[in-house]
Amino acid sequence: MTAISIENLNKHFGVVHILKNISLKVEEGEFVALVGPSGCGKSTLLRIVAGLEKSSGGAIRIGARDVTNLPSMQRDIAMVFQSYALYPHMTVAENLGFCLRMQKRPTNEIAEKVREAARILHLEPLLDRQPRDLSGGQRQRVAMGRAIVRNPQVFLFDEPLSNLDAKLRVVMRAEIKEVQQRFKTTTVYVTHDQIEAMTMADRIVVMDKGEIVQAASPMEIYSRPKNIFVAGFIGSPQMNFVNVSVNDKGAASLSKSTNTAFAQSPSLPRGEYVLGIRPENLNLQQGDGVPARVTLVEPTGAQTYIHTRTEGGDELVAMVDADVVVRSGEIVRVKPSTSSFHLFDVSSGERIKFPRAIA
Amino acid sequence: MSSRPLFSVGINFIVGWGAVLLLVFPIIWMLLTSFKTEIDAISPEASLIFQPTLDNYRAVLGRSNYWMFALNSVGISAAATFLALLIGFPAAYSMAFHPTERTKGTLLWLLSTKMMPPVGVLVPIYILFKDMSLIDTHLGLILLFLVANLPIVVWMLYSFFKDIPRDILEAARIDGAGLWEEFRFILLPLSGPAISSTALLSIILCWNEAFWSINLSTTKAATLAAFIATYSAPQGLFWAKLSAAAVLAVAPVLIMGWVGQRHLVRGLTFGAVK
Repeated sequence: MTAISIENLNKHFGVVHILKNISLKVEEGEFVALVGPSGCGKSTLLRIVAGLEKSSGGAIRIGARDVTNLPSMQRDIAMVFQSYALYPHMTVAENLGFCLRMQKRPTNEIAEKVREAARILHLEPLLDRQPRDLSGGQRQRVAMGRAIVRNPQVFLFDEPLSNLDAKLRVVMRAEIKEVQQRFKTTTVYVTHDQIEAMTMADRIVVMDKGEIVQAASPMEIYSRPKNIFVAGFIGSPQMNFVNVSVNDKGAASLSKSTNTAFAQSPSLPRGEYVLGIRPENLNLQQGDGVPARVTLVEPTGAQTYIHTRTEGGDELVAMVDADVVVRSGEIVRVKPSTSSFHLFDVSSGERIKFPRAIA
Repeated sequence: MSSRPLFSVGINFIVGWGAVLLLVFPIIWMLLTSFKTEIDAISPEASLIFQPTLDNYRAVLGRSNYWMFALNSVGISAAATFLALLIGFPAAYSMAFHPTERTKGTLLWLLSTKMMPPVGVLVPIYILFKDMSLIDTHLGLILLFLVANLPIVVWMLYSFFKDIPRDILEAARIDGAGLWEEFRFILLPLSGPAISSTALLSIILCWNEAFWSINLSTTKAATLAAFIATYSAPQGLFWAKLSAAAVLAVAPVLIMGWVGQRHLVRGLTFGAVK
């Protein structure tokens, strides 16, 4: 069953067209991540779903109800803000129980539900504290608790982890995912962090300039990005892009370099393209491949990022195992592993489909 | 190494206490004069050593109805302040949380009304008051003080509201709070310090407002400021009695300011100490 249905949603701020004809369906229990660079409209979209912002056109349904013109309080949603937005003058318990108090539920029922949420999120010892006495992670948990206490139809998250340090972010990421799976609540999660989106979401919606560019499962987005934008946005380090020309035999050579074939596949269509290759699919060869000078070596522990520049000036980053020893200034040969590259149209940036050779 | 901090501490000490002395000197002088005889008070050799007397206080309390003036001051200041908060709170709320492109202009216009000297509108206001039979009435002064203080009340509350993160109000809205609940459970508790410091400032301003009180009231609605002015009569200036009257007039508000100074300072600097 569809939990959230957004149809032809538009939003103008004055003359600026923030959201352009957005249509999206979120299934019940699904975890959807909205990602995109800042200013792409993802937070505005979430705020419109929450009822905090009015749309300029289009419709939103939550469950079977048309909520387009309903105020936030009648939409049966819960939202976790980037700033946590805890009520600073209330204790943790009062923060958790506020929505139930607004619904005029009996005191013992409120206390019961607050205790239950506190137990799930390990907040029991903190119930009498005020938000200012809590750490960032604890505040984040209270914000989560406030969302689960009311058992809403939809959870909305607006970059909830961006104020936490890297280590805590990993912990909270798992906790949010765990809570979502436990309650099986439909979730829309806005983030600019593609790792969060990849690890948490059932489906990723990539947005750019107010439009949905691609909506698919994390692995689909990763392995079959719809265009150069998506290919570049998802994945870290970013995918390498080089201009290539493909001859009749399916050999792609770097446009800026010598005629050495960079990649080859008999099924490649002839023409000029942008070739995309993920760093982990770029091999450092002994004899074969395009010569390139190593400009920077970045060890990260398990892997090392090797930045190289071909003689034509193409910049390529390879991700190799930590035991591969390469020094800055050295000449290496780079080559994509078989058929693991992507082709994009030079002018439109759209992905070009071609049959993959079986390696 | 250590002489420099010591030096700057010394400078701070001198400048700080110098400023304090400069500011409280008139009040101390007024207090001293109020215990002098009229002869001592006008004697050209001002002296700190004299025979103190309570005669002035006796005369002031006996001759004129101090308590009526005091009650007028309390009533008019309180009512004007209450009304200013009642109107200023929603006004500041809407400008802080739902600004339009005209909000900045409105705020500036509000402030600009304070830039004009009151005497500039004395004649039109006098005529208006006369036509509406508001001269020497409590209602007249309340309305006038309300209008005079509203810009300051709106500005103070506005700058406080600007510091409240919008997210908190939005979270409350999602949690099911309507406009009234938002006011009652979120905004009012959060703006307690701002409201009390704004109220305190407004009361002080009303209390000390002399121009309108002297010009538009005579006996029935006159406040303590007008009470002081009665000692500067055509028959002469009674320095000692005037001082005693002034002490009696400012004492209540001075005490109130003293008691509420923590709030006042916090309220006036809330942007800075967040």
